[in-house]
Amino acid sequence: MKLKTKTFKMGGIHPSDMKLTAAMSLRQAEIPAQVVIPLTQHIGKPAKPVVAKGDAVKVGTLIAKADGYISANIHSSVSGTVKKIDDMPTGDGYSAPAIVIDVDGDTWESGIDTTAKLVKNCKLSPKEVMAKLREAGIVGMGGAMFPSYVKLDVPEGEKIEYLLINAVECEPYLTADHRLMLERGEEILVGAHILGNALGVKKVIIGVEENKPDAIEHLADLALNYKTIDIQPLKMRYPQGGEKQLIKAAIGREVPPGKLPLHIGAVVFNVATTFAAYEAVQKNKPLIDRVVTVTGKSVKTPGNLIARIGTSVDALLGAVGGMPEDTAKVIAGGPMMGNAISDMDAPVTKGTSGIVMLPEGEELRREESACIRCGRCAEVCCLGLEPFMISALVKNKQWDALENVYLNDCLECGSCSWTCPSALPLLDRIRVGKAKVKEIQKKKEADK
Amino acid sequence: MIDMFVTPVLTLAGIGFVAAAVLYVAARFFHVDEDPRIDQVEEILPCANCGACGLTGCRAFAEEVTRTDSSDDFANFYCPVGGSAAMEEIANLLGHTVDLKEPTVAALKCQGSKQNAPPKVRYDGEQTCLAAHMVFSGESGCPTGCLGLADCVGVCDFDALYMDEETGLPVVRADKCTSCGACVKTCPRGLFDIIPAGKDDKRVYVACKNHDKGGVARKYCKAACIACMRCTKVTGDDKVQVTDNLSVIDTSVDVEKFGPALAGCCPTNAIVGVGFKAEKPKKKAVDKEALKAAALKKAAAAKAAKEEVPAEEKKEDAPEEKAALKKAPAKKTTKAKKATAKKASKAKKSPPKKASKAKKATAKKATKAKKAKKSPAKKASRAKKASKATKA
Repeated sequence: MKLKTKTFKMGGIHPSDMKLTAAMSLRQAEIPAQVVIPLTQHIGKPAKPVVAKGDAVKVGTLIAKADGYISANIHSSVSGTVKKIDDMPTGDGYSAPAIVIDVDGDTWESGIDTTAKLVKNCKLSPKEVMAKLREAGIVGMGGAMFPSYVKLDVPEGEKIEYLLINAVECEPYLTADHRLMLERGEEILVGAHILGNALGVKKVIIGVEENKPDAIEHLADLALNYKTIDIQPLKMRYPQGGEKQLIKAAIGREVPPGKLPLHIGAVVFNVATTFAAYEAVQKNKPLIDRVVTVTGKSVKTPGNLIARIGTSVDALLGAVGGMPEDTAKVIAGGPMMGNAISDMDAPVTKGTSGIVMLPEGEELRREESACIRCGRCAEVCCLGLEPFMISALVKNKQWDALENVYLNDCLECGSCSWTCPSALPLLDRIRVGKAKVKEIQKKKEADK
Repeated sequence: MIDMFVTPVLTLAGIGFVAAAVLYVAARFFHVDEDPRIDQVEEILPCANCGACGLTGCRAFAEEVTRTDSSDDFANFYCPVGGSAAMEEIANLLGHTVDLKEPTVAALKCQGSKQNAPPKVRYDGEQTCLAAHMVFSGESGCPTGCLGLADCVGVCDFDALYMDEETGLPVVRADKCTSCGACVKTCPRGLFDIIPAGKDDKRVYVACKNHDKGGVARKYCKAACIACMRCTKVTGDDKVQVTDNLSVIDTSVDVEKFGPALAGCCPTNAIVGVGFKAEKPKKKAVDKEALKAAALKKAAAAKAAKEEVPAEEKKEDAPEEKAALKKAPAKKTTKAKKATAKKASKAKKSPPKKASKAKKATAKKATKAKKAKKSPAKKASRAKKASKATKA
């Protein structure tokens, strides 16, 4: 059966997809000798450490507890001893508090089901599912790292009709979700079913871009056993993996500025998060590892690695044959929205979906020239913003005027910068503007 | 013929008179009494309209300051650009007394030049410190180091800042600096401070704001404060203190007396002295000799200890010396290990470095998505287009 493909309406670009690792099956990355587990791997307050230097931990031991409503538990991804709790370098060169664990063997906490056996039945109530996700420290693994259990905690008066599973993976190079769908398809569907029941939705829609026909077919076959789950093929278009874009594409609804998807009856989970939720609910396994696509044109043996959280980028590069000679830029995440990293000791976190190495010649931006008012940035903006305008305001420090241009809606997909024929750093300026607007708004609140 | 000239002249003259009369009446009836001193004060002010006083400009300052009715009230106003001289003049004019303030100057508290803190990565994003600061820790890696993108130079109204091409750091022209504080507000890392210019333009300050532990700070920058505590011993009181791994020299410290020693004692030269030469502590040489002598003594003692039945005193010496001997080689080996480890890591990261040399830039970029953003394919096509263009 050929399904009709859909897509979102406004803006969008078509970068080449460069899925070099699409045919490479998941493989386990070696457990490193030491892991650095940052205390901030989620949006919200950093977790509070509950272990001390010298403590012995097992795989799955809770090492830091969520501090507040928007926060997440953090578990040890290895067994060994806590070496220190200190500020450790992160990808951007700034230090952030982290727990460093020296690895010794691979002993798991009892109670975690480490077998590969599929557990289908789940009789837990929505509240219990929520508690499980919270306990397991599940956060959005698409990159935003929003604590997942919060999404299940629907405010009173809101009715959720659709659960969307984001399997779009529109970022070039990345294939982590693609492989996960092919190799853990059944588990994903069980996870989606559990989350759907917890939310009480009538329909679960898994959105997949059509550049993954094998995944669409595989999931569609499996989904025949689940009445509520639909697979929705989507046309290739960036940034379809954005929450609002996916909702628009799949169910045709638009999230108004300043509102959340739940206000229009939808909740979106990433496909990797769905898998992690399955493991948390059915296998009691906290979020201690994830699939990371390590790739690049000149990488010897690129692949989709199942890496423990806290493994250093350096160690992962070792697993794919080392950093190629001509590497000029290393990016954590996809090339469109990821962050270039300056320190190879930076750890893999819950939100690291890929490590992309760009060779020389591809890494640098072109030289900036004057804006020619062609309007292409506004054309490709999937939110209908006017990046050229925002850029000019930021450049001229018109901070007050920025409040009225819906800056906070920007999802920083980078389509504007990608398109700009004058190579203006549009997204850079939007980010600066966003930070400034937040500052101003904070000040205003404080004044009140 | 006459009409041709007389009529227009008379008409225009008439309009002129009527307008003059209206203006005269308006000036009479709508006249606003203004304190004549406002103009006088404004004339004393530098008229830079920089806003450093906290008001919108020099006129606003003049208006506010002439409204003051006591010296206490007057003391709330200060024009950092005009300085004490201007304030004194204004005080005389208004009949107030004023305590003279010491002249101040802006100081850059970072020495992370290209030489001291060599860039390890290259940033090609938006070329402003504000944007770069949000994205990453800097090309050298120091999270509190100067980003070198000259936001401060751009806001200086007095031409008192310029970028030194060689070091990549902004330099304060002390003679032009009015300490208006624009650079202090602009630097996203707060690297500028307004400090007393000091007697005879002699001042001493710690040119570093890095709170990392010594070893970590040293990794980024040769001139970082490593919190070795040496400076705290120079003055003999608590005017120099190390808090949170960073030395702070109190502005009240006697520069004439301690300045040279303070600037000289710092092993990383993180303490900057202006207006005098740093004095390297002589103690160090003495120490070395003393150490040598002690080492010789100990060696002799050790020999003696082996050969003879040691006297009580020697007994005490001997174990110490042995311990020292043991420690020394141990240290060497760890150092050697570290060195090889470093080499190894350098080797690993060498590709980017090569890239950097080739392009006078490096490698693993330290920018956010933005730079990353261009997809390779598009870039490739662009590159092709570009090459076509150049061929054409």
